[in-house]
Amino acid sequence: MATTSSKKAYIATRVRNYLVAFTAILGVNFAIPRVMPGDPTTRFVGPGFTEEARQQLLQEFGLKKPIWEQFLFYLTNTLTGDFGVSFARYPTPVMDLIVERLPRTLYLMSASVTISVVIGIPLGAFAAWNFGEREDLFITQSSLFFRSIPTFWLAILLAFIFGYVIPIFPISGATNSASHPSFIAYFLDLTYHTFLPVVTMSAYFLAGYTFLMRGSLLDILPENYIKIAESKGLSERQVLFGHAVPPAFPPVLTQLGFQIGRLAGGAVLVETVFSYPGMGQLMFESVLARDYPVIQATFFFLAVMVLGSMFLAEILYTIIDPRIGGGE
Amino acid sequence: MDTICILLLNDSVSQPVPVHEGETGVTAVKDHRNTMSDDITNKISLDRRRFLRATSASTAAGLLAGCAGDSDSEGTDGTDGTASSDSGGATDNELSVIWPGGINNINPLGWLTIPDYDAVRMMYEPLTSVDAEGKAIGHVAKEWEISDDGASYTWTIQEGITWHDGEPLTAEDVAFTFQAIKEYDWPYLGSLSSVIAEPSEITVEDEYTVTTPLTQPYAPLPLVLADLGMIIPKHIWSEYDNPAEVSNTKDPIGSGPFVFEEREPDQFLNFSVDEDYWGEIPDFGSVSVEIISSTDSQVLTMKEGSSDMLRLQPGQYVNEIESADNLSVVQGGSTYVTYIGVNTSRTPLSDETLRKAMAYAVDRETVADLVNAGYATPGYSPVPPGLEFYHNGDSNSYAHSKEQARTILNENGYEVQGDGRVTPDGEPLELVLSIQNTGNWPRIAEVLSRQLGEVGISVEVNSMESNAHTQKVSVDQDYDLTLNTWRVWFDPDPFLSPVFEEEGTLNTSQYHNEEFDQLMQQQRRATDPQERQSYLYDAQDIVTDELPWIVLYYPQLLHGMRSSAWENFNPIPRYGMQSPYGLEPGTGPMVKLDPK
Repeated sequence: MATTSSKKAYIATRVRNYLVAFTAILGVNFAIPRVMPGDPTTRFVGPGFTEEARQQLLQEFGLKKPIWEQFLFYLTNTLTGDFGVSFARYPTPVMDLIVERLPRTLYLMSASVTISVVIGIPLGAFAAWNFGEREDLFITQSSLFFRSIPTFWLAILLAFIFGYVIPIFPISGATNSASHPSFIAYFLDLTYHTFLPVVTMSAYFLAGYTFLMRGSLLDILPENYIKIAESKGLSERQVLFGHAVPPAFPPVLTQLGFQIGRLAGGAVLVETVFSYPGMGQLMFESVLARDYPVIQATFFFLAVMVLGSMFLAEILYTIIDPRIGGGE
Repeated sequence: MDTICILLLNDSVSQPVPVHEGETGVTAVKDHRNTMSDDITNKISLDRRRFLRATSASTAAGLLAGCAGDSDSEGTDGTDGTASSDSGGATDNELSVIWPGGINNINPLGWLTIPDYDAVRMMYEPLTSVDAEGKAIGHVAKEWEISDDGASYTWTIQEGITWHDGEPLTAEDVAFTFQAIKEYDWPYLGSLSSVIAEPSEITVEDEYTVTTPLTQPYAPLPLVLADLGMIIPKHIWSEYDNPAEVSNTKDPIGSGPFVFEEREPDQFLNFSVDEDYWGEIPDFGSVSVEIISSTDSQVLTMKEGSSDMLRLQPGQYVNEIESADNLSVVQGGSTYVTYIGVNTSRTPLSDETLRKAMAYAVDRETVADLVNAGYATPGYSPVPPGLEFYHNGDSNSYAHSKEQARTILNENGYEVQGDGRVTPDGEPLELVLSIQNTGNWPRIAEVLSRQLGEVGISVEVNSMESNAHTQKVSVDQDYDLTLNTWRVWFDPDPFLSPVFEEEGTLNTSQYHNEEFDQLMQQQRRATDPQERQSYLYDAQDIVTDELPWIVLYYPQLLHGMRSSAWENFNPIPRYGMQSPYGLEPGTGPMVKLDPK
């Protein structure tokens, strides 16, 4: 039996574990960019770029200070939400970059997740219900196809077809104009530009949700209570959506929770292929350019989102399933 | 009905279609349309930019719908409705350019990346420019006089230049620019700054004359300024506490033919043409720069026809552009040089004869054809032929000869033992070639390693991520051999000096030759171009003899141009099509471009 005190202890342990993880992430986040070979000035090296200029840039970037001083600076800044100035996009503040790009990525990702959940769940249920038949085979095979081809490849393929062969969709950028007469115009512009990236991401996510729902349902369909429901004379639809689908739902929810946490990271490859100025592209370019402040800020942000949503999920489990956190 | 709709849509782009003399607006548009429908790839495409601008203004959206319906009912041409609203991305009136990276710093002196600099060059003007031969000519400075000792320049400024805000450009602005170069620290202006005298010594003689004393004679100055001497308006920049820290991305005011319109970070940058520009202005009304970082998308966008101009990376996608009906590859002359960098401080590479054997062993033609699709010229001097006047075409040469290579090795104690050779010290002759793992480098390295292996020089390829490579080769200088491509400035001095002079800041070959250093000093003092040329010729003879670099070939600077819509391509060395300046004051490849 779960008791209030054991539940509290459970949550306390969780909080402690997450704090440990958070601290570790803080350290790793500082270290990783710095152990990569090269530094933010290496990409400028060329005949016109003197060593003095390099040293001066390093000075300006604060990279000539002792490493512990840099770490302290990083800690205080990160914990107060000040991520400094980008090196590669000098002198743009990192926060400006994130504020500008996060909404674009959230839009791209949430549109893709929504589409894939809305289509994937009924599709998975339909496949499970027709287990072994032609429909099932078709759905499973095509899901397998979309799940296993690399997303960037699908992205390039779509860009080729709809950007070149039948050029009806843009294959780069997020908007056409810096200013829009209204929010609706902006939204339409953004939607038009995100069409191909969303289709690419949806195809990938969709396959995942379809499989998950199908697998989950296949575990449940042989259960006796389903047979009873059938023998009561309920319609197929009533049995499927009234009795079978609800208990098959938790794995899907878990997956969804996990994905929501990672939304802010965007889709690095797809954003890169479509030159979509979102968080994924920012992370990718920052790593290539050794842009320490941006790497730190974006990865920190991502880590906090993932940790936060996982923590929330664990807490939710204790509420949904009383067996969890119930002590011995 | 059809045509009228186009005109309305064109209005929504804000610039009317230029009307040629003796023609009505309607015919002009029709002509344009016919050209476009020749272009198969464009037939069914829909101009996105205009489509969206049109739809965002709801009335135009209604008209567009009306258009499509109308042409359908005519039934003359099934795709005509969409084809007529199509024009690819660019119209008669807009040049659409693709750049690979975002613009974050439009500081005319403190830019950091190539896209930053390209943006600067659209709006700001250099003090000098270059002619077809690669010699310095005037730009903002009409002409100049050099003092007898070569250590003072008096510039006469072109009258009638105005800044985009209407203020006149005078000697004050030029003097202020020189002072700022000296006074503040700029990433790429270090060597320039070190030769300019103290700010107080820079004097304005009259409204259009300014004198710049130098700390030492510096003959490269006029050509160096064609790249780096972007003149800034004093009335704006004197307001800043530290001009070096200004990103200048909000409403930059320059004096060039293109005026800043709007910028969306990492997405696009738009310019209009300054109708009051003092020089020649282009026949189109605006330039829109689209930032597309993915090479695949760049090429697809060009092929699809919604962009007009793209700088091509050596070897990459060149065939794709070449084979597209609507596109052409335009060669800008080569100011690039691709070479094997040799660490001359390491045994056995410190032996000049080994380097000579290697120079004979490599087959430059094969490498150039294989990886650069023929758009590269094999050569030997580190100064590429794009700098025509200073390029020494008769330097020491090493035409491919395995026999020659073997003879040199045999004669100098590199004996054959088993499968390979040994050094005169008896160590196995094994070298490591450190390269970047991107682009064509792995392929080039593979071929070179095989070619050197054929004469018994064993070369192992060590490929790494580009930052790691720069760190290893340029910073730590811990390598045997490396491969690289540099793009040379308009002047050979700021290019040769850092890499081959003993005190050079980027002398990763750890090369030292007193005679070479002396010639470099002499050419800096030579006020007569002919005399300077002869010193530089001699300097090239020395480095091609001692081979701190084994030069392979000069890749062409290439641009993909949408030749179905544009003509009159006049690329210049170093910038190809991407420059409003060069050749003559007031003209340049971007200005001379003509819509078909």
